[in-house]
Amino acid sequence: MLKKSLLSSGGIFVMLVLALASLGVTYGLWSETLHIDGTVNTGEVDVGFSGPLVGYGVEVNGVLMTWDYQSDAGADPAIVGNVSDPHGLLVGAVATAPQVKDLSTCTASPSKDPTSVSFPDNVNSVDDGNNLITVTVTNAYPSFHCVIAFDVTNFGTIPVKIHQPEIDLGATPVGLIDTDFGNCYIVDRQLEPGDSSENCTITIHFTNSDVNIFEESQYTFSVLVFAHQWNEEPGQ
Amino acid sequence: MFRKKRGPRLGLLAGLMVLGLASLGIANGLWSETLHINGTVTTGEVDAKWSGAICREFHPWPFDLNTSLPGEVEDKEVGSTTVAADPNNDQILNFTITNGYPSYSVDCEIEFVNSGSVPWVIRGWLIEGYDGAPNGALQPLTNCSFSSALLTLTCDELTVVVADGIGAQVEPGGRPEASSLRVHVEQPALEATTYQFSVWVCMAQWNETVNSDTCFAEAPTPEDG
Repeated sequence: MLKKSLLSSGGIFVMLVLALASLGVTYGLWSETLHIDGTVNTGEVDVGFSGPLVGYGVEVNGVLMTWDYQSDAGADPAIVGNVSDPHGLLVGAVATAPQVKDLSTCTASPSKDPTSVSFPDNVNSVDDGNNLITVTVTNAYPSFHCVIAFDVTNFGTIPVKIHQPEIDLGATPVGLIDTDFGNCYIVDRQLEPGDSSENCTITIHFTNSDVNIFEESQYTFSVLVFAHQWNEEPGQ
Repeated sequence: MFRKKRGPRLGLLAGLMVLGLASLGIANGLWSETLHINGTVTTGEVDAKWSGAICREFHPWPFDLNTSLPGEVEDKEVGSTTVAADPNNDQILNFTITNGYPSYSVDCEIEFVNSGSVPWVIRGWLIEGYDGAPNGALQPLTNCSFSSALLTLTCDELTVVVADGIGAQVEPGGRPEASSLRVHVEQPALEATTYQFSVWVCMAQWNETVNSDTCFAEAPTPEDG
């Protein structure tokens, strides 16, 4: 009986020592932490059209006669477009207009396109620029010219590079739209925030030699201008 | 019958009296003196604070001492980074990138000092990205994973890397080798958006070898005061 009581006392004693020792391990570490609170605010790629400017005219016996959209003299009252010229560009000069000029119209209306493709989705940013120009030509005929001039402005906070316009004619015959963008900003034009490019022009015109363009028909086309952050190329 | 009963009682009484007198004699007869030790123990402190930071942009990512170029692409000043100790708590370093964009990279030298009285050893780093609910421009980081071996937090939108220093012992008043904090904005980052992350470094008393998990489990956070 003495042995048993000694054993139980010894056992309790050992347990107490172990318990106290474990307490010492758990609560004995002196330590400290430092903290870095990090925040990253991203900028925005946002480009839009400035203008557009519209001018049109007609070749009379091979001589191009055009209208100054800012002047009432010979101007077609159906002209719709941005009458201010931020770059001082005039499309053509005032001239005596042939009688038939009032039969056709060419309009170019800027707007925001909700279906415009951008990457990534701008869930937080506001699209400041007009990213769509809707061009409508009515009653076009051979030798009728419609010239739409536009430039691209960087409305965002990140420098961008803009590609030259790419035309998708779809089923529209070649010849209706001038696809030569010689009178345009340079390839991979870089724009700082707030900058605008030089003008670029699209000419809608066809001749009697364009036998695939028929009377009383409708033709559509689209033009894309691609812009991206200046320090990355597509596909990287 | 009378003899048997009296014998044991008398003997017992006598014995008790003897013991009682003897104990009295012991109590009153010992010449003694007591010495006293007055003890006071003042404990030291394991403490640290941020002492400085400087940031430099570079390109391209990742950082390479031999090939990385200083500044942003084409020497532009598009994005910017600020870093400073919190004015109300020198254990918190506020790091902010403004107008960041995909591929924007920055390398910060961050310094901290042993402001306590006990040497400590850096035991671990931890980086976490905010993955809570969106709140205005604040969006959660997605698909984040932290590698304790590489000390790198990789998310779809950001990559955050810290340099080592683990195991370095620092005496009171001393500083470890400057550590590095590097941040890279990834292509999937959304425009006009705010992302947040946190970095913690844990140090523990020099004479206890513990791993990173134990250190962080035991240590108070700067927000605890």
